[in-house]
Amino acid sequence: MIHLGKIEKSYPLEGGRSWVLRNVDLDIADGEFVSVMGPSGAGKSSLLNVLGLMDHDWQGSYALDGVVVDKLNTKQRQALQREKIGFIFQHYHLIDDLKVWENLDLPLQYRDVPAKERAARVADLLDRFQIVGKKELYPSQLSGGQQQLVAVARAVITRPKVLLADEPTGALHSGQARIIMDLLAELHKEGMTIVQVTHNELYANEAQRIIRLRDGWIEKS
Amino acid sequence: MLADFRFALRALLRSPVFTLVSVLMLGSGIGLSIFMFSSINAFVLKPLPFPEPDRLVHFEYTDSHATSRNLALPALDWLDLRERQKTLKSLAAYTVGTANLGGIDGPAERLSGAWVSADALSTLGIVPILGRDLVASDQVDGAEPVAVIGFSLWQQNLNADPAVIGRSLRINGKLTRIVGVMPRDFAFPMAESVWMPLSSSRGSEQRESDTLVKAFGRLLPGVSMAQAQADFANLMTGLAAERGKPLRGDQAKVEPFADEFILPQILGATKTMFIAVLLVLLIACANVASLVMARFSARARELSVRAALGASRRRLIMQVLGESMIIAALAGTLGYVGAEVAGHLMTRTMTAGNGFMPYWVDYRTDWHDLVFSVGIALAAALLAGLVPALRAGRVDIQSGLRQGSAGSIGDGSKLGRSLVAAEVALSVVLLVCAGVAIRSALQAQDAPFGIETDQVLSGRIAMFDDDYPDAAARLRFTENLAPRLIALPGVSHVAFASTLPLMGYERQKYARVGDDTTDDNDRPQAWSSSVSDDFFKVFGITLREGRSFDARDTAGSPLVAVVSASFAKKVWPNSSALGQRVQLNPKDPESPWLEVVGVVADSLQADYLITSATLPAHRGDGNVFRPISQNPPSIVSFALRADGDVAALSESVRGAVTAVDANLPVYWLQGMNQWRDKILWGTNILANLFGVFAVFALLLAVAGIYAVLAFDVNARTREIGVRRALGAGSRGVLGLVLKRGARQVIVGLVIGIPLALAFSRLLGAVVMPGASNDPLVYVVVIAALVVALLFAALIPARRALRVDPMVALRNE
Ligand SMILES: Nc1ncnc2c1ncn2[C@@H]1O[C@H](COP(=O)(O)OP(=O)(O)OP(=O)(O)O)[C@@H](O)[C@H]1O
Ligand SMILES: [Mg+2]
Repeated sequence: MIHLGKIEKSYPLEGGRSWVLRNVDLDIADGEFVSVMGPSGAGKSSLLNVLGLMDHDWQGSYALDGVVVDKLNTKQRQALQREKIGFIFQHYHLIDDLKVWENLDLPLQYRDVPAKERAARVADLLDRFQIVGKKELYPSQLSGGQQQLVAVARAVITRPKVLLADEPTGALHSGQARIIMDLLAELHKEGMTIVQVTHNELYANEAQRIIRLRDGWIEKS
Repeated sequence: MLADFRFALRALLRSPVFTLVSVLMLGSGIGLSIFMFSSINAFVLKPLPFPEPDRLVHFEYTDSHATSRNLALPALDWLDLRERQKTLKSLAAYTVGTANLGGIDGPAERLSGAWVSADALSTLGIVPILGRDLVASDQVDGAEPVAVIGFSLWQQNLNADPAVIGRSLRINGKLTRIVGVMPRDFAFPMAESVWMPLSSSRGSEQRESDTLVKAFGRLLPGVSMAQAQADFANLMTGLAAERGKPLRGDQAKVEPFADEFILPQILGATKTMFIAVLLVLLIACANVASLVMARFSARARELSVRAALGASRRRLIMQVLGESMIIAALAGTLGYVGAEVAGHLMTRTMTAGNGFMPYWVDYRTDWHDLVFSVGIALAAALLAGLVPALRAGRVDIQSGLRQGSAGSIGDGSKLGRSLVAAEVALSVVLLVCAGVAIRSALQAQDAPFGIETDQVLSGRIAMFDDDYPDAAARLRFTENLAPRLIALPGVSHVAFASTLPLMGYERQKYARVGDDTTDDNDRPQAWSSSVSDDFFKVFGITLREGRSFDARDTAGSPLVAVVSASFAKKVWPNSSALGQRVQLNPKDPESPWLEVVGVVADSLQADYLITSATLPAHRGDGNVFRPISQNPPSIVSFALRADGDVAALSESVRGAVTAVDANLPVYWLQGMNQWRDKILWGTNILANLFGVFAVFALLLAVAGIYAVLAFDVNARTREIGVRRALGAGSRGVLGLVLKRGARQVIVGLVIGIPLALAFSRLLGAVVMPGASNDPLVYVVVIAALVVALLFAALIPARRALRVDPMVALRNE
């Protein structure tokens, strides 16, 4: 599903460059569940940005689901991202002025899904995540765990092949985190490819594989 | 408290752009308001430059038939009333006119002079600085001609001679002895520079019909204006009964002295413009309020932290309010200085003698203006700062700190958006008014004057009785002057006339054969003048029927007239005007009947545009022209058509007149285009001022929309990043930004258009009769606003498009 070859990323710095990713080779199979770990500043988020096609300023080669990313222009990259990628953020990033169901609806709108189908999919997901009762509420009226639940629902509503989660449990206490981890496990079971960044060894171990980053290098285990 | 201000000041210094923009926006609004206020102050609030000015009153007649027009008193009525009245110390009177200063110490010069009763200057309470005031014995027939002269006349024409009293001047051909010099800056009533005694003899018949005077006086202690008015009304009834015929007016009107001098239209226009600039100020306040709000929304977290550290609600409010107070103080100072400068300029242009304003109108700012300025700055500070301040006081520590960068002050941006909608609405009002004003100015430019004003130079000469005692003498003068003028280079035609087009003189009642009107008040009016043969050629007025004047028409030949097409149509709708007879001034049984020999195209003699809204009493039914040879005036205008720059001929024209009579000064020597511009002055200045206000309003609205959108994009960087990450394309992001702006503009239009309709109707009623609610104006205004919105959205939209989700979502 994902093939990274010798990915290098750096930021210009006074009198040189600051390296963020060094010579990263990484293969993730279709349907694999991977955790990324490492100390703060190691480059975990940066790696996720590259994977999620948000960043295109790097060297190396990257193929996503058979498409060679380095050759794409901006438009094509955006189209690929819409088709394949779903994001979950540590701070949920729900849109404050939109109700829960509208937040879910938004990615579908951006993909020009017809209204009828959108409504069906939103209803479906509200049901499945057991948040039907919250659908008319605004994000500020939800607890952190509930907000992250909505954020996960929003990330998967477009049925992405790859789900990228940057510390999805980072802001949650253990009870709420458990629910999210169970959800990821379930999605994995359904065949979704998942890459999560986490600082929690326990949750990291729930994935099939752990990649450890240090100063931009992948540690050979 | 002081600490809060110090902190606010430091915060402002740290964001100089915000401070500068706010001060400029508020400053322009405050400056315009102060300026318009100081005009009103100059017109009505400042005391007149006379002792106890509120006891001074003006007395005149009004005529309930002719829409309560104010009427001056016949001199004879004044003489009778001043003996009988018991409510004023005395009833003084004056009239103004031309005072030709001629020939002793330099070239002849035309001054404006006043003929005043002996008690006039002392009633005003101003005494001469040299010599004496006029006395009653100066007023009797046969007394030695004397004059009190103005300060600048003394300084400039008489070299400030300390022994000037007793010297003589030639005024209107009469040797006149100087008996006094008035103080500097005295120019009663409007812009006069010499005062001569008003005759108090009941004398000749002519006196009664000719001289009209304006009367004024000082209320006796304990007498009110209403009591004086009642007394005069009684006296008028008695006088009319005694004489067995109605007086010139049928009602008495006693009013504050200043009201006589400020035209109600000008006061009305000024007040309308004052309202308009207050709207501009409101827009500026709304702008600054939304900027302040944006600023403090961005600092919500800082405020939350302060609150968490124990800052009281009052302290938080003071901190926000402190900033807007400082901004308003700076803006107020800026506005006051700007208004002061504009006031100086205005005093200079207004008193440059276009006759609109009396000499004592002074636009320079005084303590009224200072109080108003402080008040308006304070109001602006509160308007701009109070809402954001109260919101800051209610800051929610919990959400501010918990949600991190998601925090904002309540619904700050929502309020900012409604402020923008309000701004748009106010701009619509101002833009529509400007549009209406500009449209009517343009319409006035195209008004059918009926004459060609280009390439025509005009001037006026007053011949006085001593040198030109009869018609023959006056005619001889024009006959001597004509060949000298026509000989000047480039001159093709020369005409003389009792009055020229656009000067607004000589509206007379008329009668045709068979009219059986008994009451003179009911007779129709026409514009009349006596003109020489080439008059119609000089002004390009075409002959429609019959003949023009020529050598046949002499003093001895049958009396004839040429009428304008509209007059002919109105008076003889069913037959040709040729051969018909008309009488001017039928009240006088001596007035001759004139035979119509020609019909010419219409031309405008009035000094205002005759529109459907013009008072019927002012309209006149067209023109009746008489040959100048059959009715030579003592004050004659001339007009000459020439190639090239007519103004360049001025000196040679003066030379030609001097060669005929060195004692006669030429005045009003100017191109006819200047007369035309004078008529358009009012509508033009209104269009210009409203144009300026509207440009300010539009700029402020653009700035407001920009500020709100820019703040919006800024505050929503993270959200835009999230949307991008969720797959939003450029179209989606642009839509997000523009939708916000568009909603404000639409709400603003929905509120603004009905307001604009109402306000422009008000404006029309007050100052621009006939200005229509032109749909084109609304279309243009809406288009302008849409363009403005797009313009304002440009930079925020670009910024929104550049939001990089990676950067936007990073700093958690
Ligand atoms: N725009 C930028 N300019 C310069 N350096 C940057 C930029 N973005 C990230 N970096 C640097 O890249 C490095 C990796 O950052 P990254 O956010 O990927 O770390 P991380 O592993 O996700 O850390 P954390 O666990 O704290 O989230 C850091 O040293 C950071 O300072
Ligand atoms: Mg990170």
